[in-house]
Amino acid sequence: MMTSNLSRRQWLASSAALVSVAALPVWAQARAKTGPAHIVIVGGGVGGATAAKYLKLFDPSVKVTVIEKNRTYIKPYGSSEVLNQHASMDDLNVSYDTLRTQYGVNFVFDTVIGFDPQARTISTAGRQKITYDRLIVSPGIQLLYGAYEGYSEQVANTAVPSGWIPGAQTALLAKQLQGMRQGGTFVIAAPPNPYRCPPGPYERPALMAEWFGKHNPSAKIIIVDPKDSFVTDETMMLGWNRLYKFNLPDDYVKKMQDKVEIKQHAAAGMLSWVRGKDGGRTLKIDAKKMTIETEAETIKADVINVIPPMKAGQIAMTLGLTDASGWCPVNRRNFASTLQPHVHVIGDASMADAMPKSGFSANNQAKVVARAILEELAGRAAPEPLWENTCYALAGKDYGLFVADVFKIVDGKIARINTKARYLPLDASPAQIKLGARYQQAWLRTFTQDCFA
Amino acid sequence: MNTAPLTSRLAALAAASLLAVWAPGASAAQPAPAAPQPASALHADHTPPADAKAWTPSTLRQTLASLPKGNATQGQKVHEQLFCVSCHGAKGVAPTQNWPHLAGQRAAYTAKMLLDYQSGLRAEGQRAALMHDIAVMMTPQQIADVSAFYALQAAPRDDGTPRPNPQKAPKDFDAAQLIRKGDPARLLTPCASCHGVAGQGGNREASALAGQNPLYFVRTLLDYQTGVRANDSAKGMSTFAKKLTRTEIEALATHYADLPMGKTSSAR
Repeated sequence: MMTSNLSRRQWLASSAALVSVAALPVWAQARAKTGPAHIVIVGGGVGGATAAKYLKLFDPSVKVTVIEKNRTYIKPYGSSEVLNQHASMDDLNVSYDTLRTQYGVNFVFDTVIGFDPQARTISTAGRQKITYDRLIVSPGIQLLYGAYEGYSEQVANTAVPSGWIPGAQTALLAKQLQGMRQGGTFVIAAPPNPYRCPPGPYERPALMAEWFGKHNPSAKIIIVDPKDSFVTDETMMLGWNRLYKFNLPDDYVKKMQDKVEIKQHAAAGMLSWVRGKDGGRTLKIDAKKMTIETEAETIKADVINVIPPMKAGQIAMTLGLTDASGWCPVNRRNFASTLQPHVHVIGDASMADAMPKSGFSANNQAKVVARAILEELAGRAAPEPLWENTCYALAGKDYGLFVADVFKIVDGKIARINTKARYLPLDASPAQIKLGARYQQAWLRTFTQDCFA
Repeated sequence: MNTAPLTSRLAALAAASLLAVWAPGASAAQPAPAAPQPASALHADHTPPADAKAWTPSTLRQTLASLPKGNATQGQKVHEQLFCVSCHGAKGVAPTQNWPHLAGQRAAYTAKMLLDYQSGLRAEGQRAALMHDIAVMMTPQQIADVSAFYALQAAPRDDGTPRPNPQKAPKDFDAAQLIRKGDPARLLTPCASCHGVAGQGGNREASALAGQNPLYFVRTLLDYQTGVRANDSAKGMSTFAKKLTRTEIEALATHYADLPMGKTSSAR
């Protein structure tokens, strides 16, 4: 019935952002039925929760169990907004209640310690042994705190927080930033590729520049970066240029000035970006002296936020799903692990070629995998997958931007199929920029609904 | 693939507050998890605007008459630049079941809605909150232009959205009967007297209904019933909505959705 150019699988992928099925009358809902099977999902983040929900939506008769160590999910997306008081820590909490009561997803709050891929059983620290027909692993990332000399999880928990996986470190960083002395220096160490949430390390300093503008106008923000560019760099830096008197690097000015006016500020603002080619790569943290050493210099700071390099979540390694790269190789069509049978790996941990490590990607991958598993169990061919991703970011409270892409398999790899328009145009009108921010806020809410409610 | 509007389309796609999951081709074998209810009833944040003034027929007439003349070509630019296309489709036919179609809509109705979003008179939940944020950025000229643009688009046909199949209650009137004759016993004026025999709209700001997405149609009438939507002048619509049964509303939704009006739309 969803006819013409919006095919079934496109619809599946395009339902990405939103949803409260419960709000729909009966006649607007539809169900398939493939028979009782037990799908076990390890990890109750965006990927795992979405997979659980969509498995039950596609086929309510299937048994779905999520194994997750935390009773409440803490949203990573939007968590930087705790730092500038847009949001509270409580706003990041998401309950699993709706998935349990409304959709009949079974939750086991426990830690996975191993599995037997032949017998298809998974064992937990709480001595449970759970049998499955298919296993979906959505482990997220782990932060490699040990990548920089002087840095460790213990240092991150107490003095130099990361907060890239939200939690107590997010609260600590918020407290440090909001309590920073007048005129103090905030250094944020951006991560090397690949990493979770591509625009995130640049949105965070932008939000703080706005906050400092009101509360600590003589503060400085230095982004040290092992990279020379980042996704949404042009639109983000244009926002900085307009809002925080940021002077763009010459090569960006050259690239962009034909399309949009870029101001050259006589007195540059508080924000600066030290790129890889200028020695921005982090080497060492000294938490006692509060210094950060990069290839170019040693910077004395008041607050340091390190976003360390990352790899697939530990559970993926425990289960033997990662290769030498530290990420999980998968069959592109259905995200089946190429290393273990009857296991699918989704989200940040998977190697998904052109798809970024984002919540939106994990959500789309979860839907494709849910569908692929049910079709396979029913002895039918799964449809050709099509994925979308949108990453929203703020350069300021009312200054939104985004990257939006569509992907499909091209020559055996997941490739971007939209060639031109990916970003908010450089010549976007003030109304479009404001709407971008409005959409970002709406997305945070509706995306959570699509995954968890 | 036409990539030009893609980013904007995706941008607002994700801004939707309630995108429905619809697994086409699947059988409706299982009961729904929750009882049907107006979608907007889920939103706890419905706050009736403090300063938005309700219309009287005369203030409405004067306001609409004072709008500049709309230019459809300019209106198409507004449609694209303000991301309307994202939810309401490239030619005003929404690509999902979550939003109303605007193609073929009477210009006066579209303009009134935008004014109502601007003032906050329409404030039924998060959808309206988003429309409010957009409408406050619009000039009277842009409102007139975009309204003229939608009025020129072919009304939707076979939009592919789900159709209700209500169990007719013994006392229910048929949709055709309600539209053409109304129900004198309930003081129900025939729908056609304002919305046209073919659902084409026409009496002042009365909306065109032919081809409209039934989910939107039902939601709207339920919102009128509960008072969540109250932007009608002199309670011109809510009075009738309150007298209709749920199954009559669903029958009307189906009837109008499949009502062939005007040219065939190829918008999808």
